[in-house]
Amino acid sequence: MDAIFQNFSNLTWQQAVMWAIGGILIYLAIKEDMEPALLLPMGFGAILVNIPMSGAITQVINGATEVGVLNVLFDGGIANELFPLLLFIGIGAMIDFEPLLTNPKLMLFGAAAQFGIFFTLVAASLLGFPLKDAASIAIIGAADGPTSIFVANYLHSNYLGPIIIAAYSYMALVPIVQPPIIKLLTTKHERRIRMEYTGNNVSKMTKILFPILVTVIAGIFAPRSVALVGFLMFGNLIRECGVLGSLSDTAQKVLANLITLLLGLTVAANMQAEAFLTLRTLMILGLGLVAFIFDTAGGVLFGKVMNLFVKKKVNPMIGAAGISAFPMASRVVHKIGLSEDNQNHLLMHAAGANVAGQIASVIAGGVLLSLIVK
Amino acid sequence: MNLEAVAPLNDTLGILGLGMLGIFIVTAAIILVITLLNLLTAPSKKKRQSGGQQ
Repeated sequence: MDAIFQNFSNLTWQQAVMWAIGGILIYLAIKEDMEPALLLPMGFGAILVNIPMSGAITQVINGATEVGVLNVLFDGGIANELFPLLLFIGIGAMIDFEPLLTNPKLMLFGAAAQFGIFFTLVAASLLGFPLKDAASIAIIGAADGPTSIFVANYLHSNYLGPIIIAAYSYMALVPIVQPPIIKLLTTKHERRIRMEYTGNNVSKMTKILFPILVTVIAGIFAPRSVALVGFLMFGNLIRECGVLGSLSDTAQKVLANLITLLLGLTVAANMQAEAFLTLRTLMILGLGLVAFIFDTAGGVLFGKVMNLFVKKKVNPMIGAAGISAFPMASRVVHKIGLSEDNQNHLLMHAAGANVAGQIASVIAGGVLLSLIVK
Repeated sequence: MNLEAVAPLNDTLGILGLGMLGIFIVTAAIILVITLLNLLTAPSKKKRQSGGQQ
């Protein structure tokens, strides 16, 4: 009889707190519809790994090592960067680059909105994080889950769990985080600037060559980004080639869903109470917010500077859409534009900046790795 | 760089500057490629007109 109840005494208050955190993640996923495909498995996983003596994770019992399934999945899918890369094929197959190909200048906003990454690197270092962790925390500013996982794992960061939670949570919180910063940095007049959309027909040849050439360019300048950019662009090539419709559908739906499901659950292997409930986790959540704020500011301020030099003014708000969080960031900009002037339709421009942000964030990850891993 | 140590401010500011510069260089190259692709693969006016007549 004792054997049935003895595990109660193994329960710690920290584990109970992690159950509550798991519950909150599940609540946010279901009730608030915040990245449910990821937050729900992560929330459930957080509970799973914090049950005393959990058989889901590897542990030593009476001197013998019992391998847990979540650690097997972690070693096979995250430690070797397989899951985030496979997920990128699915994401690439989902992206329509036409708004960017129509107006390639929008690529500049994608670049400017990566400022938060590098600013956060400085801030995290000032707060005492070693370079590998500071860079991993900074990449939360890529606003891109797979890139965050890839970089943090590549650098063997000790804070993979909190970094992934921060990355995905802030992506879901873009509609709350961005508007006050956009409004703070722009005048009413700037928010009302209208931009004409000339929907040039982009040729099929351009759409096919684009992913191939971007992979080559990114690979030459930032070789460490090749895997990320390559898998993203491979997914896009499947979409655009026109002869692999069923593969494209599979990548967009089945592959992306399956990997997301496993990724969420597997990430939870890093959410054990003793590693997660620390002051550093709170600092990482705070620094993640800083990264998103300075990404937004970087994009918007770049738009304002651009307006000093161009005849046809751009609406600086589209700079805020230069982050990777798609389509939330472009929707935010479109919505603010409409609230200022109900005839100001910025969606296509913002979508162009948004897909530019997806490419730029991956390149930023590669550039960051190239600069610090020598 | 020593990944296990806290990087001094000078180093991280250097990464900030070089990182942003690097991203803008790659971005400029991508913009150039898109512009060239659009120029080289755009259907000519003549073809469009003949297409319209058909």
